[in-house]
Amino acid sequence: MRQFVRHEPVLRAYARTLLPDWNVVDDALQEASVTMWEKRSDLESASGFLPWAKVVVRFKCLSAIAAARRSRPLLTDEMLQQLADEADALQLEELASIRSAHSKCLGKFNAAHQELILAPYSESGRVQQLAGQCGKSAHALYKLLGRLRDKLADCMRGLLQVEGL
Amino acid sequence: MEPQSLIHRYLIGTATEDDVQKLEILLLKHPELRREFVTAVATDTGLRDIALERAVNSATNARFPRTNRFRTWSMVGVVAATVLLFLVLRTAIQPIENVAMLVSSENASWESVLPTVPGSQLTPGILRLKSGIATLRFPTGAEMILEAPVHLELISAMRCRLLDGVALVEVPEAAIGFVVETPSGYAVDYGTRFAVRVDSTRGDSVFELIEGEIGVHHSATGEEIRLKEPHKEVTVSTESMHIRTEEDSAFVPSANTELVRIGTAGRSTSVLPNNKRHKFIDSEVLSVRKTENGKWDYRSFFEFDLTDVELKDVLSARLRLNLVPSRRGLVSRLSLINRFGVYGLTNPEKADWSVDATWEDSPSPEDGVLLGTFEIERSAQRGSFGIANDQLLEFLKNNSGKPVTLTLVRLTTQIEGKGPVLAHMFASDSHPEAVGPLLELTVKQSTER
Repeated sequence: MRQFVRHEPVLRAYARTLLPDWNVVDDALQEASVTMWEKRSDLESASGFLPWAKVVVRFKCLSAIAAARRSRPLLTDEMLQQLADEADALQLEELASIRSAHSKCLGKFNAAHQELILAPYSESGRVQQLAGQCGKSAHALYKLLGRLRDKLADCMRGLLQVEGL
Repeated sequence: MEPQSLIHRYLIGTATEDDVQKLEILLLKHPELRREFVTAVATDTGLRDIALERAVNSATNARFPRTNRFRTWSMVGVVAATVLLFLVLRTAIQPIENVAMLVSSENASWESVLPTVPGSQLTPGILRLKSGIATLRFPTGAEMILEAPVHLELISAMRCRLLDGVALVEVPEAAIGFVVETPSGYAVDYGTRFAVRVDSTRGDSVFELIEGEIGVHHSATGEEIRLKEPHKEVTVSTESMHIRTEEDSAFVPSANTELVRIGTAGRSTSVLPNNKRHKFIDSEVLSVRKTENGKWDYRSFFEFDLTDVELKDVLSARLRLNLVPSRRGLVSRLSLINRFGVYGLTNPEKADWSVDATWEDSPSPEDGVLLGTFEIERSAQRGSFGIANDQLLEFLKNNSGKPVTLTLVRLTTQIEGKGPVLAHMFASDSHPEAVGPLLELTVKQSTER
């Protein structure tokens, strides 16, 4: 299970590719970890863990997609499968450097902008709340958030290219 | 709309049906955009980690108002549940997960539920190194040299938390990503050697790069500083984080502040109610004891001469007392934790005490004000103890330009049992090994060097 703890970030990013929101991702991963435990005897070696775990996670995600589709528009199953294949190539090291790149990039924003960038992950309705606090419409704030995320992405691209990823 | 913006909107859940259709077509046409999508997801994952980290931090520190308690706690709950799940699974499958090995110890003494014999495999848990030096090796090859006193929590093979003390960390390439947390921040190692010092009383930590590269993160703001130049340091406190140059390093004497140490110059002594000094008072130590009936109590007092000390620029003050092994009484009659009180003498009639004063004539707690307390576990035989707070600083400032007397007493008594309870002993100026009472003043330098 040390393998699971070790690869958990990769599996989470993998699940996130397929699923629209974090609550669904968390549920799917939790179910996947239980399945993995039950079927741990199938696993022959530690090196085979990640591919095997991804299959389990993919299976759990696909079964969650149908329900998720009802709450918001999603890409087609075929496209999600393709994206999952793309995400398959994502390695732990890559994730670590992406993570360090964005915490570096995040540091370039002022505190208010940082808060806005993180708002969609903190509390539901946090963006609306921030909008209320600064007297702007939520729509305007989402637009600003979009621009900030673009800037963040630019900064990250710059950094990751330097690192040759 | 830019394809990137479409991806962002999709991921944060604001994309419309129309947006999603457009995105689908773009992704179908451009394989490089699919790659971009995966990177965006990774970013999303990372941002969420940071948001969770901050939520947990603010929930623990309760420093930020929480408007939506339920959501924050539910996130804490998710994290806790996940951690718990891992723990349950881990224990079920692999009863003991070793996260590090104790490689060597030099004169090390420990207080720990983990094994402390060299060669022992260590599971997650708390280690307290009371004296000496110890080296830990993690399975990934990372090594950590601990210099006592150290309080360390082993979390996993790639993560530990230094709660107090000094450690030197050496990380080979295989262990890149090794994380050392401190109460105010954490460092991610990118193949390197670095030193970290945590001062739990001041609540800050200092990371010094010796070789290679580390990223130092501030828990409260998520800010990161990358250190690539040897001997650069980052100080992380709960509020802020900043780079320090070699001159004002915590590992070498500071340039902007100066540490002034004042000793007692032999002006220290102990007293006991029967006043039989020749028999029961040892001039090498300052004894303190409190008993049920008070008959065999000891208290000590000592003087620091502030006549020539400019206290205006003093930023902080610390009283340092060095505990030495006691020769009187039994440890087993002490409670597990023993509390001591330091009083500042305010009664002018007692100020002129002599080193062979009687119990009645000497300064007592009633002649002064309580400046602070500190605690010593009964198992401790050595170590540096004392107080460092604003009351002490204020007391010194109010008494500048003259000698000040501090009185030391034990506030806790004894537990049931046979035999006399231990008298705690601190080194006096005449102790052959340990240093006597010291007043340490951090003074702001008025002129640039």
